[in-house]
Amino acid sequence: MKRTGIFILLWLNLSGLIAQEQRIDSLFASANEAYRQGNYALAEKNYKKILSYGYHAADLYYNLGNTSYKQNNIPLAIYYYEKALRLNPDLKEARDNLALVKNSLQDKIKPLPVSPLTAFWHRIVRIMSPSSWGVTALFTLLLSLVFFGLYLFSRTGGYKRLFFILMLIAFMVSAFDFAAGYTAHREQLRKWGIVFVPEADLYAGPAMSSGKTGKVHEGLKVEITGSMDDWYQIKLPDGNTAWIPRKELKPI
Amino acid sequence: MKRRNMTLRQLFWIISMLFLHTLRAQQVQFTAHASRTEISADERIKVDFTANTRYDQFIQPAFKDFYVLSTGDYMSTSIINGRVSSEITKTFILAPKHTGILTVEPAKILVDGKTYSTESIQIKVNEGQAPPATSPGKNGPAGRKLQSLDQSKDIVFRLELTKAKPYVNEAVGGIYKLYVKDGTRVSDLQVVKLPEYKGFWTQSVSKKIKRLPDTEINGQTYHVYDLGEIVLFPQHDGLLKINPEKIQVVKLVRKVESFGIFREYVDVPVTMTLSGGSKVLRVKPLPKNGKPEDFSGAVGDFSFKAKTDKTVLKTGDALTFRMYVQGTGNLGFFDLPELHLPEALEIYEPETKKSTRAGLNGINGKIEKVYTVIPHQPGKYKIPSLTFTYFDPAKEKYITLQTEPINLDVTAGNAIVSNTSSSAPASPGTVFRFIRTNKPEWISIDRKPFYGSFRFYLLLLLILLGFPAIYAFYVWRKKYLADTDTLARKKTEKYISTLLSDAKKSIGDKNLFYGHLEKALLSFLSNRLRVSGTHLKKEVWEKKLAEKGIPGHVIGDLNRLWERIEAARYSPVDMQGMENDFALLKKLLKELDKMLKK
Repeated sequence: MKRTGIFILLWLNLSGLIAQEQRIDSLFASANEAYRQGNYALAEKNYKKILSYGYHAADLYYNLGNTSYKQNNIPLAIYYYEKALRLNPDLKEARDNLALVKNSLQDKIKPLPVSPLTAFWHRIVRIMSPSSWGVTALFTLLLSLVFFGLYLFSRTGGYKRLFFILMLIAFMVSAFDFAAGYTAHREQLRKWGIVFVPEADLYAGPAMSSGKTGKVHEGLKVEITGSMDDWYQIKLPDGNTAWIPRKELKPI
Repeated sequence: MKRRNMTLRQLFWIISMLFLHTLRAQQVQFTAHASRTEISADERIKVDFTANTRYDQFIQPAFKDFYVLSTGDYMSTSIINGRVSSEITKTFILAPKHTGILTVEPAKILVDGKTYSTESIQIKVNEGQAPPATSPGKNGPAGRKLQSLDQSKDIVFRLELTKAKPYVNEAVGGIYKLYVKDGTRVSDLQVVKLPEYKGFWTQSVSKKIKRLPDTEINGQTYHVYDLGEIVLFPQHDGLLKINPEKIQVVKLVRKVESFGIFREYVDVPVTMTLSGGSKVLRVKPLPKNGKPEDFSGAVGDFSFKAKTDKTVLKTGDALTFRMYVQGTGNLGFFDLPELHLPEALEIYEPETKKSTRAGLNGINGKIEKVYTVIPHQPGKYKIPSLTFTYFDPAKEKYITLQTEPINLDVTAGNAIVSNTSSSAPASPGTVFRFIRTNKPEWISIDRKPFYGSFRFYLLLLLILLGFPAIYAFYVWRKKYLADTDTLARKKTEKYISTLLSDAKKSIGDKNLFYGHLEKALLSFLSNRLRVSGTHLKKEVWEKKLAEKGIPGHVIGDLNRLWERIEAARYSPVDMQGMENDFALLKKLLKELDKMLKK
């Protein structure tokens, strides 16, 4: 009796999930259709409804970026593209459109130079999400464990040598995956924000009285390195730090 | 313009110096002259002290019975019947302190160390009458100001300003007015000294001489002429002094000339130099309170607009952006805001267009800044909103005007942007890509990333623990196997030693003896070579022993012994043979045991 009750509960829950998934898919499709017909406001509304159901996806944020751009909201478009790239760092369309939208930014702050080796490493890291790197790393580590066992228990010298080499290879691949995953994970832990007002003053400290040190314009992506009361401490692309009122920045 | 006037001024001075030089040689004449000798108590008189030469010092009378209202210096040069004469006149406007016969004391001048003195003048002052009324307001503020005008003068020249306490950069209008008493004839008007407007920006409004409505002061009708209008913009706060221009007029004085019994009226031209009278303006600084950072000095009343000729265009097409300030004030003396655009939009040097007209209340019109913008990258751009701040002196506050931002939609044009062939795929950042329509993999927003989660670290720990675990198992199993091995060996050794002692006892009993030997040998080999008894064949142990590095002669001995054991069942063996075989077996077992332990 009890068991059937649990079974029914589970079944209801599952069917509810399936219904939810179907509703989200149909919302996505209708939003895509609205976009195709040029009704960007409706498309945005339907895309946002999916978010309100508690689901997201890189493609969803990318499409929201496009609708924002079509409605001339450039900082919001940048915000959504960056969100899409956070979920899927290798989404080429989002990269392309972000580059296009960035043409219209007022601030062209020269970023700090990155060594070619670091750039190469980051390009590799971008291939997978940190979680995928993590799963791959654990799997290869497990494989390395299996080879270790086979090495220990095999009797003849030839097999022993083969399994030892396989174990070393699996172990090294695993270590590489862990490193890539760690880098990707660290990148994801970094907080970013988009300047959301046409013109924002930068301050030397978290108070108006601390004095202005510069000015940035809307759409600029900055790193959030700290916060205090109504202020964010930010790091500009050129490595300089400053403070900005909280309401002028939208964290990604 | 300025240069020419300078030379005019210099010319004037040179000429007057020349005259003065010639006059030096003449006899010094120094006279006093009162405009009237009989006045009422509320009237004023003008007293002129005239010298026909330059003097070193002028000592004015004490004027015990009079109030000195104003003083003035005039110099005039007259040419009468071909004779040139020049005069320096000190003028005093006096008001009597009381009635009765009053005295204007003599004045003195020093010329080349000698003192010359005038006669004293008696003035009869009668009881005052009510002054003739000038209707106030009829002539406006200018007319009222004129009440203090020296009535004794028939020609008055003055600069009248529209404001006395302007703000810095606020427009102040100025009109040069000439008042000529009815009946006085004037000709030949000429500017002899340019005004000095130190600390001002100036702009001429009009240079034409205009007739203004007549005005009546104290019963006297004056014709009023507008000789020129200017607008002044004070450049700093504090007291600023204006030295107005000086003019020269020729006044025609009717004189009676008598030739014996004939009398003739002759108009004698008298040249007079008149100054507009210096003025002091009290200039107020612009308030510091609420002064915006971008304030560029504009004072007046303005509007500010920005627009583009198009909002949709292709890359490489030109766009015209214009911003303009329109209104009245110090237009043209301040900068319009700068336009800053993203790098993808190329801006050319702006062109400034002015269409302004100066007026008494400031410069009126429009100043426009026109930019040519060429987009090089497609995309949506926003021309940011521009702000312009000015000070409104009427409202006494700063006003900031803001333009609406303008959205531009730039599509890729067919203009040649690069040399790459058209079939090449568009480089990133040039083409706006369409949305992604495939069903995405939906992720719950609440889902935490796996990397770095508790589950992740748990799995990692478990797998890492697997390595020592497997190794420990390996070690344990090896030890276990070794233990069982030693146990089996001990058992076997015990068994063998039993067999051997049995065999020794049964020497002579051929079958029993060789049966024991066979069992002992086979169980030894089975135990040491880990081969079960059923599989143990001569070929098997030969091979295994060889693998374990047992020398050939030992294996040969073993095989020979084995053959003897096998053969013994079917052939007779004597006691000696049995003893030998027993000894051989013991020796072989000992040797093999030693060798296999290595």
